[in-house]
Amino acid sequence: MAGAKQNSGISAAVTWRKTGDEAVILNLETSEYYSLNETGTFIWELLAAGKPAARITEALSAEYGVTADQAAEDLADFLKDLSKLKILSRETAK
Amino acid sequence: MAQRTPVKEQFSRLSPASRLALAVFRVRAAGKPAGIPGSLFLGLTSRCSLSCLHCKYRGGAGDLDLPYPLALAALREAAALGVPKAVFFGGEPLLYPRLAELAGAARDLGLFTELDTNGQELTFARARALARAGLSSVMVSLHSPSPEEHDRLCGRGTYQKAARALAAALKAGLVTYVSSCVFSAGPGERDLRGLLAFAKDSGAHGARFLPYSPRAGASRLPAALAAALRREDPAGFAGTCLARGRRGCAAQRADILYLGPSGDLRACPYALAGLGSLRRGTLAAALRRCGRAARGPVRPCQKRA
Ligand code: SF4
Repeated sequence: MAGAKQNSGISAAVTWRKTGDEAVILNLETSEYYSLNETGTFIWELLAAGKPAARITEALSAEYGVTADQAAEDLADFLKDLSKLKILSRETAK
Repeated sequence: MAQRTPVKEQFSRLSPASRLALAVFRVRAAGKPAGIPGSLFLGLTSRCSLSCLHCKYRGGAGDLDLPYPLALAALREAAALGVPKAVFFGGEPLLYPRLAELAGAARDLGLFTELDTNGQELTFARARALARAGLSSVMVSLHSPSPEEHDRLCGRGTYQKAARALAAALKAGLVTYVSSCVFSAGPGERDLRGLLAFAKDSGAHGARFLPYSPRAGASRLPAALAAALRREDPAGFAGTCLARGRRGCAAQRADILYLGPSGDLRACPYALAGLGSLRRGTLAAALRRCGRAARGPVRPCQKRA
């Protein structure tokens, strides 16, 4: 599985591949790469498929049995990290 | 949720696909379970387009191709075990009819894919097609910086074609290495310096120096070569069978596993003793035998059993 990032806010300089349970993301501009843990990979795949934040929160809450508030907070932290690392070029749609 | 690592600067000239493959390889290699080799070598065919004077397979290797389903089964098991890299080996792997398809299958399994070639058939068009199919890296055999000496070993005109293959692999954005056999018992530092300078000047990303050992009996060459490289190449541009700060050669550390064209498994392509057949067993079973068989002072390329 590699590469899709339709309408997702993911920077054009970013390419990625899923291997086993983890996604590896490479920023071609900085030559830095990141490996995501299982939860990060779960969110990332939805993000890359262009899902809006509300849908991702719902899915996260259902998959990991956490409250919607907790899921929203985890997602917001994750997106903030990705933005700081310049993996996201803009905020994902709310 | 994210772990971050910068990719070495020397790899910035690679195609995006090769850079991503390298990043995936580094992540998988770092997380590799204990006892799992870093590379599975697939001896795709015993056929070769050359008949190099020093080749251990010269004259007696026959005319065998590794059956495609067996190659695929090996790649699937290797990926499931956590092996990060598949090396397409021979004979000459460019003569294997389904090489591109196999490279794509290995890439899709998350394996870093490398081609170990004499380079004679590797044009830019072929390198680009293989890169598009799923190949990430090429290792081209060039045994001397002197065209005359290389041609003496491998045949007239082979140096020029191998040098062209190196340039083609680099232009196709592949991770590119020079692979050289080193012969002398105490590696002449002048020769080693020449090989290192040549590999660096070619623009390759690194080099691999293989100690050429006699068919049987202990040889000091692997250790002498590693020691000479520590002196001549402190930055580690070139690698050899013995890694810095590690005990034993790659085969003794069970860091490689070789599957030959007949389905035979060995601790290294040059190991004299076998570890069984994939037709009747699994890679995991061979690895258990490999751990037991590879220990000891004599390297597997010098020991019959
Ligand atoms: S057995 Fe060891 S020293 Fe001999 S060729 Fe293989 S890795 Fe190198």
